[in-house]
Amino acid sequence: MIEKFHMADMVDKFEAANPGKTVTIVEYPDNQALSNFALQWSQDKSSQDIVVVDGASVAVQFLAKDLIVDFNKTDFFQGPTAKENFVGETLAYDSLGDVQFAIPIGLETYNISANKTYFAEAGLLDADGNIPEPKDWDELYDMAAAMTVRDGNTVTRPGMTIQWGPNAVSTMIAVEQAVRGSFYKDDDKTLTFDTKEMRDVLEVWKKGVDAGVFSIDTFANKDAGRSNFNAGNIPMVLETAAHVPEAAPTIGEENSVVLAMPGSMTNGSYGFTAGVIVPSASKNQDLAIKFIQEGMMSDVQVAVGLEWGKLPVIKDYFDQIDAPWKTAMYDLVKISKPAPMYRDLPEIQVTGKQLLQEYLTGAKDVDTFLTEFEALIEKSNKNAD
Amino acid sequence: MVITAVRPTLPDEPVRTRPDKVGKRRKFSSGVLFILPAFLFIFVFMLYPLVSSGYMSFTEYNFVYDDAPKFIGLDNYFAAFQDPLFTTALRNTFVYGVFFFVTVMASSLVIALLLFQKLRFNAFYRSAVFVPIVVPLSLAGLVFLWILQPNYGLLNHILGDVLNMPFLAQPWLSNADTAMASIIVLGAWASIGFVTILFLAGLQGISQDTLEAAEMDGAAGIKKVFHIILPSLRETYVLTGTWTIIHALKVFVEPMVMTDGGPGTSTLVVYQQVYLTAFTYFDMGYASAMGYILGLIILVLVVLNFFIGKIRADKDA
Amino acid sequence: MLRAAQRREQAPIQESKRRKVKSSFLSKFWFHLVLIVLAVLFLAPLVYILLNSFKSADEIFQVPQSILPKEWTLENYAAAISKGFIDYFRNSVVITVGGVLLTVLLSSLAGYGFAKLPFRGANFVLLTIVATLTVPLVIFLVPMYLMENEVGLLDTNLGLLLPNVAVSLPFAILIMRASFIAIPKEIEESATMDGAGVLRRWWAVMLPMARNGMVLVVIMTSYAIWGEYTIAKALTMDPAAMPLSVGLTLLKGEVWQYGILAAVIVLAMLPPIIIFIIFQKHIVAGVAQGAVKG
Repeated sequence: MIEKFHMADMVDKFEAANPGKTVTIVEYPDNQALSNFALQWSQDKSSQDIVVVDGASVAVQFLAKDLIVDFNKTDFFQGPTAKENFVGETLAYDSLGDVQFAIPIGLETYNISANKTYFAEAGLLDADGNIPEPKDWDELYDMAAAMTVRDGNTVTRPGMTIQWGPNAVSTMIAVEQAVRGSFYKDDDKTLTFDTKEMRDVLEVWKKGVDAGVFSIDTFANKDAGRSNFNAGNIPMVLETAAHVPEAAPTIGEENSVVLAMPGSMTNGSYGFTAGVIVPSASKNQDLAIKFIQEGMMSDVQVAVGLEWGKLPVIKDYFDQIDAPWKTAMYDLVKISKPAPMYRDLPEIQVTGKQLLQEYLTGAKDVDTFLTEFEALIEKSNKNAD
Repeated sequence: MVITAVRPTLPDEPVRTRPDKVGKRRKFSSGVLFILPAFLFIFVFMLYPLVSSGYMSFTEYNFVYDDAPKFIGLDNYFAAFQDPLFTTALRNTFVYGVFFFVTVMASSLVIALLLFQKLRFNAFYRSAVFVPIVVPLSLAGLVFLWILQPNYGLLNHILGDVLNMPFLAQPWLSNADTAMASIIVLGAWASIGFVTILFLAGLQGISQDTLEAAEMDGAAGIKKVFHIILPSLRETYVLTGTWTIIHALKVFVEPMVMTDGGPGTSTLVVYQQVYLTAFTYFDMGYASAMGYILGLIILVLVVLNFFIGKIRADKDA
Repeated sequence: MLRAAQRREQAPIQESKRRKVKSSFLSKFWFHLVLIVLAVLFLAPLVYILLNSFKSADEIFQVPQSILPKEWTLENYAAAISKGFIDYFRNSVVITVGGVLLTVLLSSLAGYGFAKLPFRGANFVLLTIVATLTVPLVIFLVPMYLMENEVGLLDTNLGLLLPNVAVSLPFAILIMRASFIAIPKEIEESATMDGAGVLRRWWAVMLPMARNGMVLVVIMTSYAIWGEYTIAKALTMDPAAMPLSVGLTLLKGEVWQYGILAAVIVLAMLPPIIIFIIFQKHIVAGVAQGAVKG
């Protein structure tokens, strides 16, 4: 993440502007480290002044014991980082009630990354040479099926990879938001997948898995789709669309396209950001906030967006992005929704992934799958603190 | 037969050395002193955490949300056995454990017997078998993950393109049965070397007299193996058995790296469920209870293994 | 091959020479066959990784792939080494060497105590020690973490070395205990008559005879600590303090670039393999020495 966010540039910028101050960046391997940090914070010690969390919503849990700073209670939102300068609803991604527990950085949203070469090969391009937008999942299935390559009975190249690994529940949320315009029940706060629209999608997914049109290699290796896409080995991948620019160097910029999944242009998708948090135990909070303002919320975000598809959260910098996928992404980001801020969301994600995989491999039928999933949501703690 | 008398090694035979009283008293104190340093280490880093998490297993304690553990008696233990994820994980752990135990014990013993023949190229064979133990398991898991990839992996390439049997190629880790088989293979690949060394050490320990006596009796080949060699390895079985039982049921890194417990829950093991509960859900109380259940099961099996070995040896002596 | 097999067989064969040679040639053929197949299976993943570490990124994903690199490149090694590898490596060496020395010392003391100096409650203590082995390490991590945080051992080599020793000790004690028990009591008794004190007997008489067990403990402990992941991941947050097993995961970046991963794995395996090759003779000698004492 350090490299991806060009943090060294942020540090250089900050240190040049503030002589005598040094910033040390340390990378942590995965989110387990967060629980270590939290343990340390709860003893009122902290080795960090700022932590950047991938998927900011996991940070919400640290509000419970006031382990992290509420930015609304600081003077962060002044000058260039005033609230009105942020893109769309991004600040809402990392806030709960009137508490701003993290500052978003690197906007992303779920959609389809497509490799145009294969669409041309299969004769799927429209008269203008563009990929036509699939209206519904049946159409999307047909496109994927048309690009699936078989050798006898074995599929040698599936048409599409859907992120059904550790982020399976995020995928379901994104897809449901797109096809139905919401992933909540009527109360607008209880997650549900037992809906007519989602059942239709699930049916198509199962059909695709059985036919080998949708690959299931993300079960074991969450990066399978992405690696294959980057290597030019798969026509479509449904996961965070931020990966599109990544593939450009190998498959060609004109061939790496963000394709709207069915419904997403009207209903949006699932959006998320990384989040910058400041532990309450930090002894240098003022300096930390200054660094976020001057170093992180700077024009460095433009380069990050161009290279990694993690879009700037500050409007001025967003406008400086110039890439073929920008408009599509921007329209999408504006209407996308953040994940529910449940205390038990991690458990819903892990168990939900297991249930979905059991359904897709035929171990459970659709009714059992949805009943168990709804029961899981039902018994979860859906408060944030 | 004379043989087993020379093999005094089974534990719990302190009676053998019984000198005069003075000697015994001196031994009492010095024995404690010899053990003390190691014990202190284990006490501070293992026993204290063991007791501390033992207490936590009787409490409700989410270490991110709760200020202090709340005592709830045996509730976590009752909850575990009604939790379908835990029982599934337990069943998977046993499936893995049984296959792992049988594969590792049997292959290691056979390989040790083969290496014991001191054939030509013995050094090469030995190195080949031992080398996997030097590869850190987390990295070995990545290697296997890579080999088993459906489209650019080595295994499917060999099956499809080299052996020309493409119908055998498949997404190994995305199917419940082959995924479990894959992690068993990784576990065995990584462990057989060490267990083989333990068996070889046991074989080398069989006295020349024993082997020669067998030679005189005209016991040849397979017969010699079954009647002389295998029975003389009892204390080695205790050691290898203990090691293998513990490693079989504490399996974690293999499924974590290769399958993340999937597809579905088909390779979810207890250790991983404990890990998730502790470090993703922060539920230390419940995680500790599940860890303790696994620990008790392993302890029972290890003790059982110990006594089976002991009884058999006693009967023999 | 035939001649060689015969020659090697000649010494031990006493009777019915001809028949035996024939049957043993046949069985030797099968033995070799089995061992060759096994050797291939055990080595294939490692050879595959070694070869891939010399391939460029494009070549690795080629379908169908070639086993040998078409163009040999060292770029993966350059990439692996440039990123903090040296720090991780040094930490691993310090933790492993220190940990192994401590484990061997403590386990051969304790193993001797359990084997030859029985005291009341010894079995109970032994059982308690074995019991610590059976519980998943994860549930120890939080208490361990809080303890080390309290005394400032987090993110230090010592902070990893000590718990690693504690975790390695129980099984090491079992091994050492077994090897001391295997030493006939007469040997020690004769030393006692010479008037040697217990510490001297342990050091000068018993320890050399238990070399077999010590070699096993060294092998087991060094590889266990070198590859240890769970503790290291929990108790280090600063890359400067991480050993290879955890630090290497930081080289992953966004997605594992397989070529770099391969280079990293080769580099992580190299030191233990070298140690293994150096000590190979000793391992065999140590193990074989058991035969003499019988």
